[in-house]
Amino acid sequence: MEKNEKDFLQGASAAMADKQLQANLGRLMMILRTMHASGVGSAANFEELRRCASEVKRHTLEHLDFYLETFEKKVIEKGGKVYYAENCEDLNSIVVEICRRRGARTAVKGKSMVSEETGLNRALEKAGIEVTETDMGEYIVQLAHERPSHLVGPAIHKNKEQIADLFLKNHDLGPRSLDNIPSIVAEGRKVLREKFLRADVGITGANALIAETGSVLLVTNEGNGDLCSTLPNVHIVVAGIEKVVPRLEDAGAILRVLARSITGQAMSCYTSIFTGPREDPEDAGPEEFHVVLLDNHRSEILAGEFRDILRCIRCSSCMNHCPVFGVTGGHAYGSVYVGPMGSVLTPLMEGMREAGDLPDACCGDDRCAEVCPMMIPLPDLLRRLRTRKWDMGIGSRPLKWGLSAYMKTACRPRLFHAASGAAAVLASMLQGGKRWPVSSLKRMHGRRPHLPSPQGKPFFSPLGRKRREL
Amino acid sequence: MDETIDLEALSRESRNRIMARLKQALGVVTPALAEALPAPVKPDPAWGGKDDPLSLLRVSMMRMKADLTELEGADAIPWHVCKILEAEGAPMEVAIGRDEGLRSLPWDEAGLSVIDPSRIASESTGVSRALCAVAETGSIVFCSGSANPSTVNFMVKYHFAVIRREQIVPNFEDLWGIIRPRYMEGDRVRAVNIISGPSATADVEATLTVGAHGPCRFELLLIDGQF
Amino acid sequence: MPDKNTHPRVGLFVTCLVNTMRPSVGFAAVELLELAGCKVEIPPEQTCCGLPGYNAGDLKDCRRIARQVIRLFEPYDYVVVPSGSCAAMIAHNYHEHVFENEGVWRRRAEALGKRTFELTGFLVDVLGFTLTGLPLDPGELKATYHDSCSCLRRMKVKSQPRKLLRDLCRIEVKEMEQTEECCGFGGSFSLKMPEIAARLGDEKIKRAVSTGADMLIGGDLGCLLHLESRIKAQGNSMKVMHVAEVLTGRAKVPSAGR
Repeated sequence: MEKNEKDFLQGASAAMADKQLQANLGRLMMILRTMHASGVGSAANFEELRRCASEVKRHTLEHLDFYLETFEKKVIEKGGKVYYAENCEDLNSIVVEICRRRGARTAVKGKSMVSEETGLNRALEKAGIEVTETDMGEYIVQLAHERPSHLVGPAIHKNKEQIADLFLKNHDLGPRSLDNIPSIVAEGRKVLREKFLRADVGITGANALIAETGSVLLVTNEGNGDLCSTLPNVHIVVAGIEKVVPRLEDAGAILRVLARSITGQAMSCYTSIFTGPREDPEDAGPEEFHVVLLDNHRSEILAGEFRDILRCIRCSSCMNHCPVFGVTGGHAYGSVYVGPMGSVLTPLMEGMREAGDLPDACCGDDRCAEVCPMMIPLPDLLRRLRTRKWDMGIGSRPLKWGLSAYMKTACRPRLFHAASGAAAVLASMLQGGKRWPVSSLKRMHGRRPHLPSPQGKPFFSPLGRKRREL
Repeated sequence: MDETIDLEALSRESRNRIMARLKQALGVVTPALAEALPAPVKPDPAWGGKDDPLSLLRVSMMRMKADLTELEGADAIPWHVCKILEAEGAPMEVAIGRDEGLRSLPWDEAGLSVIDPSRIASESTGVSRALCAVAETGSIVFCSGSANPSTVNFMVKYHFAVIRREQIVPNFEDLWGIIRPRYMEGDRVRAVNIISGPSATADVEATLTVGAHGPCRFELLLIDGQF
Repeated sequence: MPDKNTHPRVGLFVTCLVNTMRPSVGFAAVELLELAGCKVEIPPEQTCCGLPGYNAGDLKDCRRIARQVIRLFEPYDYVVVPSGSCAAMIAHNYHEHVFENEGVWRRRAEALGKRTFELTGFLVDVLGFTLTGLPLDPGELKATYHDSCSCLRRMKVKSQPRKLLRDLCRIEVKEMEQTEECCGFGGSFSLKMPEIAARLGDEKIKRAVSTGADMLIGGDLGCLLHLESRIKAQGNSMKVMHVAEVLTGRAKVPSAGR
């Protein structure tokens, strides 16, 4: 897993200056929030559904070893194969090796965050296997050699003209007009259908792994995941180890909150449960069924104070309601997982020194916790990461020293009140036409900082107490 | 590819290390008992949910831009499909699996020819038999097999699903009771497809567009009596 | 719930921002509580609730401050705070997070937390305060209201200040679009990511201005000072006031932070 830009602030500045992105992102956020509200509103007892889904996952994580072993046993019983990968490289090597053994040359892929996490496409291409993303948005992003900017709308930073240009340039289909959205989607369908039919291998993620039946649950609205797992002769599922649930009903508990949280639908268009390879030659489906399970720090996260983040079902509600994400978009995060859940997960997977700026990208409005269908206390996890960062001594030093001095002063009332009196006087003086010397404040206000000035003497000063008429 | 790896060994070693870490992280915990899991919760529909299952199914499917048609008997299916295909200007042929009940319907009389699922093309139509329909979510449930392979559900442009009236169940949770026996009796189900509308994408400018990869039109045909 | 005839002993937690930047909010809070029949005391040794350090990750110093606050305010029937964020710090964060692993202090924090309220929430929910006829010239005042995220989501305060403004001052709040959206202040967030904080503040102001209001009222001085600085930056003339100031007829004093 890799971050392309280390500095969130830099990415955020660029995003805020990009008018196209701002307009598209603003529109998408409004649409997704409206859909979310209608989805949550469609169940009078949504709180109960949320509690049930979270409880299922909490229980499963508490017995993750047991349920993984059960799942593995069942998959094998049903004729499939299970592999474990400790890190991204291992997962990529395993998938490449499965393809190599089949002599596969082409692969189609459904949307999979785990494969983004491991950089699977690059590994496959390096091994000479042509891989095509089949989710319409992911396909567009792949053609543009970019990174998805949103979990649900990967290509949302592009408008239809930009997408039409990409298609005209990349598809050798002769002169034609792509001036409306249906014509663009129809061309995507046509081109990708050929890819599906020719592919040797289909790769998908999983929304859940069902232990009791050894099945893989996959949810899409386009149906691309189903074509990936039905048409090619080999189906490879890549999933994090935290995706397992005990029974069919428990997968159901997650389905109950998943689509409602993403698109507001009671159920997405396509929900499929895949179990093993095809046995009946007259049936559709692959001859080989492989599940590759990725750890990549998940077992360490499970052991610590951040276990709750492993309940995440990648619905994107947290980012869709995050004010910071709303102005920066996904690219600013420079990581695969973005928004509040990404700001928790990325530093835990990549290290605080590499991604320690992400937990700061939180204005503390608590909205993410309110909307999370899995009841993950995201603001609290982000704050815990900031505590970890503080204790490790990472981050802006002047800010840390300033805060530390403030906090230590606040432990001593007399000193605190003397200091705040002095600060009020100083602030009033500085306000007289002069500027604050702090660089971050300059950045905030451009060349001319506009800081609030104090009213007069502090409340806790002999003079202040007397001036109650204020 | 110049180097090959020992897949099984790599996976086995990873597995051992991951499992060891998990067991260490979790410590000695109470055994994982199914009783410890919460009972499934059904959503209380905000609109009251007092409707009979059929009305509810109709509303749910409409919301998902899917169609529902009630037919008196199975023999009416070919005529209905024919009418729709004529209106759509689609090729007059239907892809059907080995399902004898479906295949033996009077397709010829209606002017339609039956093709094998392996011959599905981009403008094709598919007809398949579903396992049940969930009224509350508007989901139609299919089990893949030689009779109704899932390619018929996904590769066609127009998809017709057939169920009997009594196969409508009120809640999504009812589904598990219906499909679980199929997993347990060794009668292995490769794919259960729960379809709740035509294929759609909102990936271009967040505008919902029907017909992304799967069918552009999805219609449930509800049949009275035996079939 | 106290009998209305009794006079609950209220400890006022002034907050560090009110202390240095806007003492009149403190005085207004005292006035309101006394009008409502409370016996108000202001422990002079109080400083800060520890929120700035808590947010930034300095849990160690935060614990020291929290112990200080708990010791100082334990003797009172209620702790009242003219700020949603500081109130939430004492009412929730102390026992939920700051002392989550310290049994005795967690219990003390929890007991105090249960008696801690944001000012308007306290006046309406606990005291059922319904005084009318405070000195204010209504009619001309067109005001919109900014809910702080802490008030909204932690302290469950939204209708209370509106009710008081209506009952006491006959001010009908002109609601802005997406009124529950964050203003971008977020404490140390606005220092760490000033550009984003400014953008969020500007958007909030845009929505506030389009209500046609000429005053922006709120219950959290942090948000208000942040918004005021953005209003200044834009050269806008909208006035920013704390709800306690408006309720006690101080609406004519200069805008917060001017």
